[in-house]
Amino acid sequence: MSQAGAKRRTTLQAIVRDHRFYLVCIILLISAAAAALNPRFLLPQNIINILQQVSVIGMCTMGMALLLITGQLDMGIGQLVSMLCILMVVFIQRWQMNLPLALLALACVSVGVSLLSGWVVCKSRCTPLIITLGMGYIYEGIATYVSGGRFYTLDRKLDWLGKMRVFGSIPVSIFIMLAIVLISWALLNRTRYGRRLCSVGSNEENAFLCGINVDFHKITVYGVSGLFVFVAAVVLMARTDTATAAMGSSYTLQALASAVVGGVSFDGGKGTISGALIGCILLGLISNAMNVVGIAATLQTMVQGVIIVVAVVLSNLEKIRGKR
Amino acid sequence: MNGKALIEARGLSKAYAGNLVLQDVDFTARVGEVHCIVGENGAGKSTLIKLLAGAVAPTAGEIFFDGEPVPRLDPRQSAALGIQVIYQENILANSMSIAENIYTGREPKTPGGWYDGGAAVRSAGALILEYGLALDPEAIVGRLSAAERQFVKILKAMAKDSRVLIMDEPTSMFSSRDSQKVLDIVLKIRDKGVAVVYISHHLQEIAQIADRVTVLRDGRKVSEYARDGGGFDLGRMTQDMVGRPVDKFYVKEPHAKGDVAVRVRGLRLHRDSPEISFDIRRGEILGVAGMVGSGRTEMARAIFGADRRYSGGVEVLGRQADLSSPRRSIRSDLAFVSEDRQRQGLALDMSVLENLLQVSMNKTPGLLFSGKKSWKLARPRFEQVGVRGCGPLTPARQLSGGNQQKVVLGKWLMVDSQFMIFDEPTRGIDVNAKSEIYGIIVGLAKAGKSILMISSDMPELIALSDRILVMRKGRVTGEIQGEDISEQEIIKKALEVEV
Repeated sequence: MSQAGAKRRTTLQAIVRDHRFYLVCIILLISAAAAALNPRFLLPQNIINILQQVSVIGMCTMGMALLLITGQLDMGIGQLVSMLCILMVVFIQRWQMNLPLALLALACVSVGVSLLSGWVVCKSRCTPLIITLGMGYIYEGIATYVSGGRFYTLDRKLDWLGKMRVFGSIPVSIFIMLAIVLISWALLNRTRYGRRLCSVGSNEENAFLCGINVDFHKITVYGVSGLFVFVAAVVLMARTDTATAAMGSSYTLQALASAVVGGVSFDGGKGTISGALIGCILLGLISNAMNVVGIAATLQTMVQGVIIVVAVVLSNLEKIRGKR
Repeated sequence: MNGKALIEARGLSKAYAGNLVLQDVDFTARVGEVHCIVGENGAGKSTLIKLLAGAVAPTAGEIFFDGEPVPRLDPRQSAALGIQVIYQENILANSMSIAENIYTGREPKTPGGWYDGGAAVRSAGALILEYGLALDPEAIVGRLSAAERQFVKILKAMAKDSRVLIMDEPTSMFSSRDSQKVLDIVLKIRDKGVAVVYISHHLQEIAQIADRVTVLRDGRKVSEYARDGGGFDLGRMTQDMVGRPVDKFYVKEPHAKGDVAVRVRGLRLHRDSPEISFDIRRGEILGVAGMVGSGRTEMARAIFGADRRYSGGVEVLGRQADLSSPRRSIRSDLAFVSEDRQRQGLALDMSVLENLLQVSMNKTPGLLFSGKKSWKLARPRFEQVGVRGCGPLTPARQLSGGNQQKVVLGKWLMVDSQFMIFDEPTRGIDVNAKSEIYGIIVGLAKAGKSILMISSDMPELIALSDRILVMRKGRVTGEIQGEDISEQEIIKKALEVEV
């Protein structure tokens, strides 16, 4: 047996053991099943649809993944999206701010309140779950109060972005998501800052004793997530043109589910950006496949839940076996 | 009735992965007697009580209970026989009351099958009175002092009608006044006809309460003493604990020392803790000896800025070090190889390379982080510490203990600090890796570093140290130099007995 052969075999083993391998298998399986029932599933237009549908959640998922890898959590991401959308209308329509200025202000708000959550979590030494849940209520409360519970429209001021197509027919939102995925990957893997995020999530005591400024990294990662959430809110408004106070509230759990299905662990330090992306695509694919195949809308939520549980258990088989 | 053998162990041995930690030990716990077990760190005391409690199974030997052989003692059976162990760890539910803690798992019921909280409080109250304690059965355990929590642990064990009570260093955590209360309770329990097995480092305590003393050393039983009217010869006991020929498997060549490079001045951890001051020269290895719980690690963490301190400072090469956080103290030329590599020294899921870079991330070349370029920087240290059987990308979790420790060492070598603190640098690793690590530490000393080394491994401490500080209960109780360094001298100062 040559050395190259042995190496090839271990690479193969590594792939088979990788969490992402299972997810890709599940994606292929569901795609095959859906395509068998309805060949239209595999049309390029449908695939573009799936990617467009996941783009906003994908951006939120990247923020969530970075937080989880640092050992943090933000349960207010979706509510922040709602608040930003409502504020966007307020800034642009009610206050007549020009577009770039309004967006800059929104970005500052988003990063600012996220940094605030991080700061409170860090300095209070409370668990992030409950603090950020509370922040989420505040965001949604502000959105509800400002909007008075009504629909708010942007009067097509962002239509140019929503209608923008690249390479003929691909919506620009897909590329914006891919850009954020790439930025997240580079940030995590190719900057010293990102590697320190991973150190902090992996073993906080060790990071502290190694002279890493643990609090700084914990707080700023909330800010990074806030920036991604801001982009997600802009892309969402460009597509819907209408804001309500609850429009983003489901995104928190969707982003969390995507990241966790994608193998990002609650323990911190574990998980990859590509995994989180695959998790996100898997969830989007499932709901699209159910539509295409014709499963009743009233049944879809339940099926989605079953698939999430099964996917996570399957990809955890190695760990379960290891325990025995 | 008193003096009848209740638990009798014959020829107990225990091996972990072929490594004998207890060898051919006979031990008898008798009704109405306090039988103390003494020995150094690692003498096999904890293993012996785990065997007696059925928490682990012996490799060889037999255990008899009340004259009957017990072929396979397990925790459930030992509880049924009335054997109770009080370990050092806190096993209480901090958010619950004393009464609730005492009756956890055996909650009293009303005739209707509901939980009867009142009955729990009443019987806990009766139990507290019986032992003459001043505790409120409804007080929340989390708010109690360390000593009071220890009382609750004892009450919890006694509420189960124990016939054998095994206590692992019940007084190691607190002051002598509180210790005295624990000792009084132990004697009360003994007088009820319970067989008490008591482990302690404090020979004075033992002189006070023991009816019988077994001395362990390196996993063997060295001697057994009975009270027989008079007292105990503590000096002889100390000698029994030590009397091992110093195993010089590592011989350090002497080298020249430079001027004083590190000055620790007036270090106090809390307002009422004693002051600690010492100097270390260039090229000098200052050992720190003491029993587990003597405050050595706490001192080191305070020096490194990992924990708060009340007062005092450190001067390195004439400059006052900033000890407000590890980040600052690293900049002030300090390094700290912590004691528990898995919990404090490594990011287990990250690669060997990234673990090597933990302290020196900002020294890596280039604008972006690059594994390849960083490896060029880390590789000399990786080779210097001699990590084997893995590459830079192997996750640290997959390495053996020895290799993991070398990675931790390598990480700190990357920053080249003047003042290096090692806390148990070779705990739990094999002999070969040990002597390699000794080589590295001595190499650092030769290169002019000032080293503070905490160790519970006597041969290691004696072989490497130029000078040894001995600590007990947060205080430096002695300093031993050069030719005077011997195990006996260290133990004497660590236990504060006159030999």
